This record gives sequence, structure tokens and C-alpha cells, in this order.
Amino acid sequence: MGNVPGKLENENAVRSNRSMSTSAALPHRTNGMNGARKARTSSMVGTILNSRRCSESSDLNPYKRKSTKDKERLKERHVKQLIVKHGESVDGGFLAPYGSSSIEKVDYDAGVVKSLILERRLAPFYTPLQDYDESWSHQELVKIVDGLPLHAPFSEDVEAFEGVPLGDLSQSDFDDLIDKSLSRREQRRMRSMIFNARLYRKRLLWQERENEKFLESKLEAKKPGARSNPCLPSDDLKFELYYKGVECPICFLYYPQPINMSRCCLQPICSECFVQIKRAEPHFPHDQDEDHKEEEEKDPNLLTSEPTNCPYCATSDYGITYDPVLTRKVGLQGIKPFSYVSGNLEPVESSEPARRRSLAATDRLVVTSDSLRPDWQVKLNKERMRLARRSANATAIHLSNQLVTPGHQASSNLQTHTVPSSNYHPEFAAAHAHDNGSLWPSNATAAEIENQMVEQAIKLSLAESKAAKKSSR
Amino acid sequence: MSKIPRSFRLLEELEKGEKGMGPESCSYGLAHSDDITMTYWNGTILGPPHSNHENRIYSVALECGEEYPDKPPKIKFISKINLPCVNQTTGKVEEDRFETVRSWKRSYTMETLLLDLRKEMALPANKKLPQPTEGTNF
Amino acid sequence: MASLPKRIIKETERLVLDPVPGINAVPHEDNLRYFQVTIEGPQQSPYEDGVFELELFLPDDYPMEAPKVRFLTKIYHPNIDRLGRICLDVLKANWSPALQIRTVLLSVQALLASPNPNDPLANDVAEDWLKHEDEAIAKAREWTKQYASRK
Repeated sequence: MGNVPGKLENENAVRSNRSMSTSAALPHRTNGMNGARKARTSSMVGTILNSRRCSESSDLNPYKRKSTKDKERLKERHVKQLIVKHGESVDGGFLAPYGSSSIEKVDYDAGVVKSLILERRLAPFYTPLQDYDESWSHQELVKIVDGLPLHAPFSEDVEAFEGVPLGDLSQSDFDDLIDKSLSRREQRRMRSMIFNARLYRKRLLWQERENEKFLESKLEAKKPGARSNPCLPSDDLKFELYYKGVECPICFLYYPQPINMSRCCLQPICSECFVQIKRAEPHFPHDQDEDHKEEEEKDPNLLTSEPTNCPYCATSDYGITYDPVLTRKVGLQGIKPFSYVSGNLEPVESSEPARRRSLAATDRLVVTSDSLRPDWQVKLNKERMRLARRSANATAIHLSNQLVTPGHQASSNLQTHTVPSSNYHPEFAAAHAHDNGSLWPSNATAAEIENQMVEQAIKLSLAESKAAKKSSR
Repeated sequence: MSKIPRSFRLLEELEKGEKGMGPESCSYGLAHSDDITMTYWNGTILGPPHSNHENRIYSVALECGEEYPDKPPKIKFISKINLPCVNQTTGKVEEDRFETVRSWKRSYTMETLLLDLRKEMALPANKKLPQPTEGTNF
Repeated sequence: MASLPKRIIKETERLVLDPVPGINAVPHEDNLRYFQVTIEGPQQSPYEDGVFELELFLPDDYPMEAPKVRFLTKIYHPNIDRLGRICLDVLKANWSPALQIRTVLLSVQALLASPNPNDPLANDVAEDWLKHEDEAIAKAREWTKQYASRK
């Protein structure tokens, strides 16, 4: 793995040269920040949030099919956002998670999460302590915190990537690694396997580079007569953050206070666990008989996905609030971490009294799970559309079989044949995404709908089988 | 990464097989639905197109031993077939003549084996091999 | 192998230090995410006096994903199928990362105390249960004696 590509970071460098105003990139929520303050935000924040704008502009039509290369590019951009950088800190924590090595766990919208952390509405990703002992002295604790890494070590032998060729990581093109003698389907599988293995490796290298930079600046700061590095936290900050840590009830690790609190039952959760809680994949309701049917026979309209429940009290629409310590605003949009001096001996207790009541999911202070993955509706509709295409296909094949079977009354068949699963029109999905009722205009009669449906099904199927034939040749 | 134990791995494979989530060119399931050890399995392979196997359905028997998936399952053709890696008297797939078994990895599944046997049938060297009468068994 | 998450280490420690009555869970030496479990049949249930063996595995995504649990001892129960798979809400849709190995095994024990033939996994058993409850309970007792008696 000798060839650490020098090109990997170029894209970021170019982006940071471009100056831009943050206010455009920030979501519409305002958090008591006045206009003047917003305008003064550092260009660094602009850089961090810039990537969010990029991803939005490329997502103008979320239903448009993306090419494999586009998808790969988006995924790589997401992974870049998961790199923990010591220079990008907020209140002693970071903008990217500490210990999640599988990308699937942290597939949240990184732009949204970063801006929530910058707005101090979600606790930053703190490096956790594995254990905590009340008897540690001030000095011991500072030393322990000083030794914390930016990111947990990555596992080197991932079973799924075993034996997968990586090629030259500095080249973005890896087409030559794919065995062209395989079927198209196999080639696609191989491509995604190689892509994922390469991306894993790249992430590991990117993070390692940040780890080295972090270590170097720490060593540099320890040299006698060295000027303090403004990005490194002062001992006061290290101590104050960790000396009264709280155990996250999900991962059992120790985090600085204040920590995120569930909006409903005021139970703590660290940001790393919070971002991993997400809606289940779209599925059919369990009480329906749909479970026993073939996929083609199911009604895509019934496909649902429910908002997440609070892990502690099962209240729907899980959300949290975070009350930052106002006297400890350091890092991005705050004072330099190295210059922080403890003002009060009991800073956590002396800050604003913590919230004592539940808040609604719509409260402006609340960050819901759904808001971290705003694409859940698109995902659900896409899955419905996929199912609708499949069932339309099956229906059309079924119908065309009947049409060509001698002795069959083709016309009467078209009239009477009922197809339970096809009462769904992919085109309507996007337009009607927000009402959960019928996707059909209410004045259409059942017969009209059925006619349109069958027509559409045949068209879709003919188009798809043509395309399938073309691609398989 | 953690290693999924034998039984939960087999349950995953069973569910994939039962729900028909795998490819259409092969299928597999438990030989006895109450075999709590999940050792004996049946599989079918649909002969690949443009070969002498086209439209044929081959039955195979698989045995996942105690050490599965660290060790590959034993595979035996029930339906008669003429393939270099298949013993012509017993129907057994010979380990040293079938690459997928020879270089077995823990991440391989029964589905991998069935699909790779199908690929074996479609190899230029094998696809035109004369085949025994359809429907005969070893 | 990646190091074991702190959560799993602490849960295991706590299971040893503060065991649940009637439940025993010990990790395999070569795979600390894989537990050998025994559950005693609850009193006044058809499974009384039986000791049931189970296996439990904590997948990579645990605790975001539920543990996988299966009976190894044959059992006649409407929510447990012939392969030992269990139909229990907290193992599926109602899993929460705040639940633990301990709570899951307690739920399994509770399922033995109150079978639910209206939400069956083993359809034939559930049918017996609904039609001839007495006979089904007698059969469950019989199986307990035959397959789950203390060694």
C-alpha cells in the first residue's frame, strides 16, 4: 500500500480557496444568531458547509436515475466528510464521528449534521473515554485526554474485502480491474465490491493522514519555547470537558457533558449513537397478508417506513435537544481552543438549568432522526416505483401470454383482468409524495383507472424488455 | 469484523433461499424442514443457455458440516451430468477439480457454489460436452 | 479481528456479576459475540422443570441491530418453529438499542410463560393451541420432559 495518492486531497484544497457566504448554505432554522454575526462567520465554516450545497445542486431531481459513476462520486464525497480533522473542532468535539468504520452505519446527511453541530443544536462528536474513574487526579485526566486519538483504529482485515483488488488508489478509474469476460450483472457486482474496498482503504488513509497531522502538532507544541497551536485544546478545556463525563446508555462509553437529551423522556445519548438511529428499510405492514405474497403481487402503495421511536420510551418521532454551555464556546465560531480558561469551578452545574419537560417533535429546539436523513421520502418512493415496475412487468408478461394464446378473447380479458398490485402509477409518486392517501385523482372511475393501468403496464413492460434484450446482447 | 456463527449464517442462507431473494438460475433449501442442525440441503441449478444444459434442471445435494462456513460443504449431483469436476460414478463434485471449493473463503455461500457450478457448465470447454439423457440420476 | 466494543465487554461483565435467575449466558472463548445460553422453563408453565439451550449472536451492528437468538433444544411452542427460530417483537420490529442481552433473554423467558398462538411462527402448533389448548399444553409438557430435562 505504498502509493498514497497525493491527488486525493486536491479537490478539497480547490474548494477552500473559493470564498462564500455561509448564510446561503445554512438551513432555514435560525438559532438566535443575529444577522451581523452570521455574516462574519469564518471562511472555514463556509468550506465545511460548501459541500452540502454541492450535493444539493446535483440532486435537483432526486428521482432521476444516477449513473454508477455519479453514485460512486457522491459516496466518495460523503466519506470525505466522515474524516475527523483536529482543526475542525466545536466545543472540544469534532464534526465527524469517532468510531464508526462501516459507512452504512453513518449514512446520514453529513452537511446537515455538520451544520447542526456548528449551530450547537447537536452535541459535537466527542472522542469517548473507554473508562472513567472518579479518583483520577486533574493531572492524570488531562494526560489521558491528551492521548486520545482522533479516530478509532480501522479493522485491517474486513472479510468482505478479502482478496479484492484495489489497483492504484491515486487513479479514479479502475475499469481495468474488472473481468470483462463476466456477465454484465457479475461485472456490476465486481465493480461495486472493488469500489467499496477501495473507498474503505482511501478513508483509512485519509484519516491516518489527519491523525499524523494531529500528532505532529501535539509534538510541536510540547517543544520548549514552541508557540502554542491555537487549534489544540487548553488543559483547562480538556479537564473541564471530561472530569464529569456521562456514560451513554447505548454504547456505554463516557462523554463530556452536556450530552444530547431525548425530547420525550430526557434520556442522554451521544451524537455517535444518535446519528446511527434511522428508519427501517421500506417494508410492508406486518398485519397485512402481504408477507406471503410474491413481490410482484404486492401493492406498492402499502409499502411504508415509520419514523424512528425513542430507544428509551418508544415515543414516535425520536428527537433530541442539546443545551450547550454558553460560556464554553470554543473552536469553530468560538474562541480558539488553546486560549480557553475555566472561569467557574463548577461550570456544568452552574450553567442554565437543564430542560425538565418534554418537547414536541416540531419544536424548533428539537433535532429529529428524520432530519438527519431528509431523503427518506425519496427512498420510500423509489422502492415503491421499483416494485410498481416489477409488477407492471409481470402483469404485461401475463397479459401478452394471454393475448398470444389462441382461443383467448383478448379484448374481454383486458376488461376483466384485475391486477391488484398495479393500481400504482410511478409518475404520480413524486407529485403526490406528501399525501398518504390514494395516488389517483378521486374523480377517475375504477374502469378508467384500470384501462390506463393496463396500457401503462404494457408500455412499461415492452420498453423494459426491449432495453433488457439490448443490454444482454 | 466479527465472525457469524455457523447456524446463524445458515439461517440467513435459508431465509434468502425461502424468500426467493437469490438469482433465478438456482435455488436451495433444507432437505428436512425440521433438521435443527441444518446439515443437509437440496439445491437446483438451471442449465445455462447456449449450452447442452439449456432448459435442464439439475438437482444437487449439499452437506454443511460442523465447520461450515470455515470449510466448504460437500456437494453431490443427484441428476446425471457430464462435467470434468463431477465424479462420473458417484456424482460427487471433486474438490481438487473445482476452483470455488479448492480456494474456499468464509464469505462464500451455497449460492456461490451453485452459481459457480453453473458457470462451469457454460465454460467453452464444457458447454458442448455430450450429456446423459435428461431425467436420469446417479 | 477488530476489538470488541466496550458495550459488549461491559454487558458480558455485568451478566457474570449480576446473573438473572433462571438464565445463564456465557460467551464462546473463540468468539466473544457468540453466547451459549440456557433458560429454565418458567414455573406453572408447560415448560416447568425444563432447561432449554439457546444460542445468541451479537451482529456487527449490535446494538443498532437486535441480537440473533435461536433455541437449540426442541420445544413445542406456537411462537417457536421447528428450527428454533423465535417470533418475538423485541427481536424484530420493536428492537431498541437501549435493550440488552439481559432484557432479550428475559423476554424469551416471558414468552415461554405466555405463548401467543394469535401471532404464530409455527402455524401447525398455533392451530393445535387454539383448537385444543389442553392437548397442546400436554404435548408441550411431554416435549419438555423428553428433550429439555436437566442432565
